[in-house]
Amino acid sequence: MNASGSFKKSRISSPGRILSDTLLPFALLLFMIFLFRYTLLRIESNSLFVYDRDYLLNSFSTPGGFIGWTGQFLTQFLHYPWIGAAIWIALVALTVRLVRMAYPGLCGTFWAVSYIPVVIQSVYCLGIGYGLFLMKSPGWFFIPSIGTLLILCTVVICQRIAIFPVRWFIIILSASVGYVLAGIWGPVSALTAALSCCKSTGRDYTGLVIALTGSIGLPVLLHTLYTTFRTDEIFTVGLPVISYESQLPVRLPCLLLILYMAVAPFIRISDSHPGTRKRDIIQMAVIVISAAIIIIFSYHDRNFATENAMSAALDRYEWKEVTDILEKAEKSSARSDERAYSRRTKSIGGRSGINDIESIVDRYSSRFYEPTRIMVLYKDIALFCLGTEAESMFSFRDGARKQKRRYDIPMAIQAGKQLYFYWGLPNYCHRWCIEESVEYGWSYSTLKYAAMSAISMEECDLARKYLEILANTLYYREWAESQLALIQDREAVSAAVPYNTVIPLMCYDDRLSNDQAIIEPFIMNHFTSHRPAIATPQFDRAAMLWALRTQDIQLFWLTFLNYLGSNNPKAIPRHYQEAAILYSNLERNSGIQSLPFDRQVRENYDAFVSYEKSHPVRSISESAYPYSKRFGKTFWFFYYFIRGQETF
Amino acid sequence: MKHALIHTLAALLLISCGAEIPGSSSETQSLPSIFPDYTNITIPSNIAPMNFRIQEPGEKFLTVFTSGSTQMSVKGDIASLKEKDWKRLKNGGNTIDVKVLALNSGNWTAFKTFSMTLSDEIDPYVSYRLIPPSVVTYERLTISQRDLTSFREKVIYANSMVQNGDDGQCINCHHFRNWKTDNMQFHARQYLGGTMMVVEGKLRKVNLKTDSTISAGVYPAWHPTHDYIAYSTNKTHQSIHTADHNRIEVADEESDLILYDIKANSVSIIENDSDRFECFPSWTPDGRTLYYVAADYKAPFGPEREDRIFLDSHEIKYNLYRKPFNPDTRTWGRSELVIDAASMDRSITLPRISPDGRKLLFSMGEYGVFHIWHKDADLYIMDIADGTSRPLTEVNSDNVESYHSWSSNGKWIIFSTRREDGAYTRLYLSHLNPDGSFSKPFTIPQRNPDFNRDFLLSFNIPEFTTEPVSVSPREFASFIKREAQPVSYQSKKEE
Repeated sequence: MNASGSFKKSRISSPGRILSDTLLPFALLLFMIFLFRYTLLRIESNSLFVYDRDYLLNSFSTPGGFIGWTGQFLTQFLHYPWIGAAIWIALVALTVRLVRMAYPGLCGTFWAVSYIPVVIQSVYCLGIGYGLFLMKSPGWFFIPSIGTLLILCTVVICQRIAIFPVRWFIIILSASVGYVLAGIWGPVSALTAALSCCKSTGRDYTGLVIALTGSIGLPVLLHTLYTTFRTDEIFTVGLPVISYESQLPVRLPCLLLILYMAVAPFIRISDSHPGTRKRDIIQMAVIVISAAIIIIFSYHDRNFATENAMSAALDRYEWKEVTDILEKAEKSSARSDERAYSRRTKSIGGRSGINDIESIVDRYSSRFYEPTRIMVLYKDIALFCLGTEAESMFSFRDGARKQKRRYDIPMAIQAGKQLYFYWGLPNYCHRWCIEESVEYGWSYSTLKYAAMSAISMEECDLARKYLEILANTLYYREWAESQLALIQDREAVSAAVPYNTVIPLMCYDDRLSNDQAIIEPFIMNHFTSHRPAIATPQFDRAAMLWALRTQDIQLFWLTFLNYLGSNNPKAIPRHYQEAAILYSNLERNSGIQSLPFDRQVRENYDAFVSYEKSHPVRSISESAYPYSKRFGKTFWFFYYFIRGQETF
Repeated sequence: MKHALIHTLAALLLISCGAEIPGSSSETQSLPSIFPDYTNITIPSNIAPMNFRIQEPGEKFLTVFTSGSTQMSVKGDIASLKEKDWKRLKNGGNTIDVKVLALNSGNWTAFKTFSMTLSDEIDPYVSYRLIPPSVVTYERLTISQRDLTSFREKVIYANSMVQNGDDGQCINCHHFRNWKTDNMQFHARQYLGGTMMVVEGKLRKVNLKTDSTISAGVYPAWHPTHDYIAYSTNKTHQSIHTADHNRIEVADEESDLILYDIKANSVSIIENDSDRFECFPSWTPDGRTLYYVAADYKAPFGPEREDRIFLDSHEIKYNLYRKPFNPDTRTWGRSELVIDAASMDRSITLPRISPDGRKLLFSMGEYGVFHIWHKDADLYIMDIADGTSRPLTEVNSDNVESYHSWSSNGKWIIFSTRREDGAYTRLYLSHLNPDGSFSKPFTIPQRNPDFNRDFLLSFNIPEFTTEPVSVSPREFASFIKREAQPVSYQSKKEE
């Protein structure tokens, strides 16, 4: 170490460091792109950045608003996940660089410890999972990165300024202007810089006192200018906010980052003792542990990724892609299902006690693949838009796998606007766009669905309002302009995707209602109990889909007759035949023998009945898998094995 | 000589604005399309600059403002003047003529000149609640105050200053006595609930709910001369339309009228017929008559009543009533039907009496009491002396016109309307002409003329005041944390 406290250049530029500095960003980029692509897309679609002066000025209404505005600006690039991820990685790479500049005593020899802020930020960004739906702070994805850079820049600048009054001025500036622009990150940067200067470049206790007074006094003073937050938030404003009982999941990473930078000046790792080889091993260990922490604390859930991918495809009107994604998820689970089945069978072995067997079945149930309700509902929408729901809605696995999340997030917030829009309830879609925007701010997604619902309801002025905002964004401009060109021409709207599917469903009579934020039963009830006197063929098709889901025999017959009347099909779709055969047999009703059923369907049903006789069902959960292997793509399987699914 | 001087001055002014009027242009007889529509309107003499956007095709634009001998021009598609220039323009004469020119393919086109006629002053302040058109969420509500003579807006109180997570707070019904702010009130619901009052400049928080009333006070009417406030008490529910453009329906399951005696800190019943919904009290300026609306409705009380109300919602029609009151003895006379709206298959809400006591402004729609969600709701005016009423066709649109207030001089009305986009309420002003008609309504000016288009909150309950609210938002936020003072119940006095 030289006299000024910095380390020799040769050490800093060690080959290992250069190699890891070069490779790790690429590794992190690949990790983000391959495993979190759709999460990043979802984060982007739930954010909003408008190129508008008022939008910028509005950010100043709260301390830290500007950091959120900057975060929103950067979040828009997640529209192309690799661009957004590359920007984020560039920021954390800059963080590493500044950490080494600011804290040579800590990172001079053991440069690998400069990766710790990267680990913390990675865990924050990639470990959020379903929490992303509850994030209330605009630009939250980038806030810790920008905040950390602000602190480090202040530290580095102050360290390089030898004239004390100039340094004090910068410290006061950080505490005051920093508070206005970046919230608490401002005063923290002032305090951290003062601490660092105090330690590394002389005993500037005056600077420390100024920083301490400024960091506490200025926020207290400045908060009286604002009406956007509570008094007890003076020293937390600017940190990310989540709508949850505790702020710890999103604030702990920020606090750890601040702690790291606060204690870093006081930690000096000597380079005299461990030999180069030992040092390299320790550095390698730090890197491996860092990578392990990122992998372990990142949120990995196949269903979450599938939901996000399906949602993104749905928003692009790529109906086939929606079903392909689900199909791919199912296929990729085939092996693990087989393994789970084999182990469960072995485990059950010769046990005969029903309770024993049930407990084993329960234990293994989570190892079998099962979609979440949202996946099932997205799939139904896509099939309905493709017009193949009656042939293939039960060709996919059904179910209600509980989402792996610690947060309570109603389906209305996750997918309300999409479900209501595509099922022809644009008023409810608009309602949930508004509710979502009140809680979590307007986003590209809410503006888009609000605009589409207004277009469907022929509310051109309202649609224009939302579209003109989207026309001031980077990646939604083209879509908004295409819709603006469309809205005046009702015929063109009716022919355009997705309105050509949605508008025919809007043939129902108005009624006053309330979904109580439970969407699935509400839509089911809408189609099965509120058929208009003159229903469109599409309405009756949708009613059939929902009637089949109810597993109600009488409702099926009633809806089926309506369907036959309005659609006048040349051939009865497969699932309807399956339901009709099953229900008529259950009711011992031979009256439907005259219907033109396919021979294949009749033979399959006979096979199902004979299989049932040879493989009696002891318990639904135990028999579901073997039955699904043979009859999993039929209505009969759905009827017998998919019962009482929980929605939320 | 005089003309030469005027021209020289005008030229100097133009030079100072940096805009040059083209030497030749072709004239068109059509008015330019501008947003907001400020063509040929009557404006208050103390209003802020009437900035607008030109919505005509063109490569370049020029707007020339002329008032008497003062002329100013602005380049670009946004016609925006600095406040000091606007003031100078207003001082130039009683009418501001505006000419818009557009350049297309090298040729200037001059649109037909329109005018802004300066008229009576308006109360400088208007208070409103900013609210999203949501059903259940109300995370960011503010009661704000706009200075109409400038673009300054300040928050009176924001619920973000106290609420925390699930402890949400709804704020509503801000109200002022006689257009002054030393006596004012608003309600906070749910978290830290209660009625926040400023009485003679002093803060007070009360809980107006008693065992003998169905709810705390809701829609207020501060007595003009005595220390009373009439309130409606309401058990309100809302339901959502699946297809109707009105979107949301709000209806009362029960509602009555109460009188709060500020000095005695007690409430008494004004009207509480169980088969009648009474709502929206409003005093005459002398404080001797209370106007209100009421609808007859018979349905059994019980758990089914709420559903029943919504099924019957189209049949619930409110009439206009008035009830004599002696403020000195706090005694009431018999209620009298003023307008039998139900017989016309209509429903009246929000009676508001002009400061001279001669006119009554109200909103009328097909049914119900919450016309803010009824697109057929229009403003009507009644001559109190002869009882005749008429729709304000010169003001109304084919969308919602609902909450409305008179300025303290009775020369202006402000009302909320969804005419711009059907979902977000905006505030419009209209002048009462000497012949009893109202001038073409226009939205309150904003620094950014696109504001109304971009802004994603509704303006709610506009109320004029002649002075700013002196209590700071922090004072309100601090006081609201206190326990609400209970009120006592007193029996009703009848003559």
